[in-house]
Amino acid sequence: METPPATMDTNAKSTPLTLSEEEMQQIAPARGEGLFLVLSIFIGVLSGLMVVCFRISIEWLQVLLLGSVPHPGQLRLLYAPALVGLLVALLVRYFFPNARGSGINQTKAALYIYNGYISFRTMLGKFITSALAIGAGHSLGPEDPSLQIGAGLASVVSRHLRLSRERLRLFAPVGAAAGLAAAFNAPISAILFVIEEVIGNWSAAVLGSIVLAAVSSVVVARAFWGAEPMFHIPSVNLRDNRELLAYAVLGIIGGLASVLFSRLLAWLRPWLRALPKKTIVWQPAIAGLLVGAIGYFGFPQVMGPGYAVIDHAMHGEYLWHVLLALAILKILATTLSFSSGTPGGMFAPTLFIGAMLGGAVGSVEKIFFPHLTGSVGSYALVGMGVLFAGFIRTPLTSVFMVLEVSGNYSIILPVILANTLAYLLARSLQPVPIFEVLTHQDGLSLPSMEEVREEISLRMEDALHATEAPIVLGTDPPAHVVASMKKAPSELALVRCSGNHWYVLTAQEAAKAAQSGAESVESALPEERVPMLYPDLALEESLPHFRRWPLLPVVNRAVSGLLEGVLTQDDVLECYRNHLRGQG
Amino acid sequence: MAARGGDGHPWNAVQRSQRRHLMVQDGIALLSLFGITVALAILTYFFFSSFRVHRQILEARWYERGQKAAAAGHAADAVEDFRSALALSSGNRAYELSLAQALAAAGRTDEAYAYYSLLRESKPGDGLLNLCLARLAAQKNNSAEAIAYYRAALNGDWLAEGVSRRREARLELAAYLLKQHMPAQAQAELLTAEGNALEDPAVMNKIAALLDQAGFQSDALTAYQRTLQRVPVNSGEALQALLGTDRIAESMGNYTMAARALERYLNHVRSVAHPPESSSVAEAALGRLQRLQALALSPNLPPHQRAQRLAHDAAVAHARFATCSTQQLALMLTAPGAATLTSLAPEWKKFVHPSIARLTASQPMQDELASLIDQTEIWTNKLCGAPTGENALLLQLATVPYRTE
Repeated sequence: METPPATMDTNAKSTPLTLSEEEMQQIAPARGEGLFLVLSIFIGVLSGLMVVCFRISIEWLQVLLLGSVPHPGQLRLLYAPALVGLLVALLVRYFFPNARGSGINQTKAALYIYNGYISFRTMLGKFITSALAIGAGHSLGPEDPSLQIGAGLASVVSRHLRLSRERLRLFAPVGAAAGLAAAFNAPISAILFVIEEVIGNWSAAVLGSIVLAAVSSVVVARAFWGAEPMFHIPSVNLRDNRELLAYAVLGIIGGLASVLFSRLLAWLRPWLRALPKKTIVWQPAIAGLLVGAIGYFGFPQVMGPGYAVIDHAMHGEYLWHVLLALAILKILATTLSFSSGTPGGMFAPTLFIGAMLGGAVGSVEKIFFPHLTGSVGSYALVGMGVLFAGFIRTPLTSVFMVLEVSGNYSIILPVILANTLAYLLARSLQPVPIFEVLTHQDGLSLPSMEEVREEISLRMEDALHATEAPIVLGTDPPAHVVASMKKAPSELALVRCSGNHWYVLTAQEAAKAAQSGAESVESALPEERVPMLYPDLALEESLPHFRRWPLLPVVNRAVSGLLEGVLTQDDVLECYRNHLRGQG
Repeated sequence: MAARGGDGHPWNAVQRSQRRHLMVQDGIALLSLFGITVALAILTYFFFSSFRVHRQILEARWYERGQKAAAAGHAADAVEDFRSALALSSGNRAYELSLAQALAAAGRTDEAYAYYSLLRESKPGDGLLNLCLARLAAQKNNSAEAIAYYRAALNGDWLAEGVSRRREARLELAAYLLKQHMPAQAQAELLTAEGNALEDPAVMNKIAALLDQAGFQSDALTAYQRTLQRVPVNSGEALQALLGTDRIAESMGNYTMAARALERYLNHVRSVAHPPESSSVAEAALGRLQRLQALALSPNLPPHQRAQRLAHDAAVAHARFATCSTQQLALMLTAPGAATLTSLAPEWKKFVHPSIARLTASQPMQDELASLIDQTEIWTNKLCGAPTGENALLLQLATVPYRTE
């Protein structure tokens, strides 16, 4: 994993003007935000250009190493991926040690562990090694590396401008979104993926920049590749809603397939890593040879990302048994390629497997139920989303991804249904998502965005209770307040001040007010008031206020000043304890 | 008013200097970034262009191979070649269309159908796509879809030669409707096509043949007549129209018209010294037609002549009746219909030797005898086999009575 240089000072390294963050804030308070947005556009454009270069490199290498269109029986299908596998392994071992893997976890690690730091060397290594591996026919895709290339580029660029550490950290996901958007030609999916899988929340601070970068990169990519969606399928007209059952079956089968794929990867990768160290450099070569053998003996379609094959499947060009064979062989080939440590992504293989499986299921269903109106292409398309939802575990992205790569909104209902089923089934059978499994295998502990999404957040209403302290009006005379407090079990009183604000009065303050001879208790109080807190706010938001206030009144949102209850620090802590006990 | 910093206090001289310095630095950094972006864009453009050119060469090569394979009738090879071309140029419409055509030619109807459907998504008004889909739907015995696609093709966009391509599509639709036993719809299409094809004699002949096939002989005859009005008699289309006229006129009982058409045909054939065998068949047919006219009881004939002709026909028919009755009696009248034949015997007794004078004088008697001749020829044909000679001609007149123009 990426480790920034120990001596690196990200703020002072690239500029002779040495100013602290505080000084910078003093002389140019709006600079950070403005630069952040401008740089987001630059990062988007640069990422788009880099991804275009990356994709062309892959295609050039494919033509040079495998021929313009690989056919079974060509010897080069055996030796090209094997030799390039060896070359890539050597490059990774001696020059680019951080280029292993898909790029998703590496980007997350950069964000959460290394303050957004990805070295230029890592970015370059990812570019070269992934292009070589995918171009030579390893069963991997270019999207995840594009994501890391984008993130790396953003990291390199942002380090050369003096921005706050927090902003530097956020540039990695901005670049990641740009890289992925250009690779997929799908800005919404890229934005959603980064939010669902990398950042984990809809932070307004970074959302604008992510959108700007993603849109810029897609504009650049479309200038070269065109604006056409990746795949074309006919419109899906659900004449009979019962046909959704056919898609539901696909969702279930896809969910099971994604679990199988995940478990195979989760088993083979550590097994290969546990082999003697001297074998590690040979593993990509052997994986390449095995993948090449699959191509040599009849199925060259499984080599490389396979977008053209997906397109053929969507045109209904394969029979169901060929589609099923391709899905199974792709699972094997991708597991071999990825587990061997060959750099490359999992997105394209996931889409490939899903499309083949979807096509196969659709074809079989149409044999038994010929009245089904959906084409094989529509089942293949839904299958892509299903595997994406079940394997990558980003349900929202999976839906939008299908819509964006096909430019076809008519498929929305089947996609939502099948993806949800696959997601729920995969999650129940394999609770830990594959990227988290891989993270643990790498010895890291990155936040699981799936867990973050489902984390039950405690609210103030969960710890709220009725007050024992007397409630007095700000207009009451201090002597009256002191008398009320003496009768009550609490040493505090809640004062309802003008403007429906509250003040928590201690016994000492009450006595002091009485001695001062003030007409009303409010006139003897300082200007400060308890902040307005509402029952639906997160419980954690109450914590900072206990330094100043021993008791926090929580008020109704609709009726201004109406007291709903009070919170004490002990209540809050007890609430957290109960919650933890409840989680087991 | 002095500029203020983030904390609301005015900047001092050092801070202003630092701020200027920072702005210059940021400006230089952004300019450098812009320069790098432009340089990378240029590099990417050349990289992309070089690859695109190379790929265009490759895809053109695969496409050419596919076309050659398709032309040689190797549809399966063509499919692979076109697919390779498409792998290098995804979304190329010409390649996609060729692949779909190759798939259809290779008998992979479902795949071709799916492919055409996809292509139609982006151009639903494409005439050729709709026509291809109609043909595939027809192959799949999906007549509703086939007819819908044919109609979409008729209303579709054909770019060049739209009129003639639409007309061909309409004729194809008419032929398909005929196969589907929908003659009325076919007639409507053919009459529409005829209206647009008056200047094209070959198409008119085709329309006439289809109208004839649909059972609309009068319309077919009109179409042939229109061809004959527009082309010189020595043209191939005119000869075809004359033969068509002969065939239809004869089938309608208009033997005079049929004979006249055949005479015109023979006049031309003889004049350009066609091989004798091509005219001998026509000459025989003409002879038959002339004989039919000689036997036919035209209402235009003078009463005496008609009576004479009736007497002659009666003699021929009666001889056939006598022979056939004897055969049936030998078989003990067991054949179905034999009783009907024997029931004609009392009728014949009335007309064994019909008097020409009486026949000439009595129109009802003429009609009765004519009817008896027809019945005799029909029943003897059923019971005693196909007749020959004049009996065959009389049978034809019984089934297709003589009509005038």
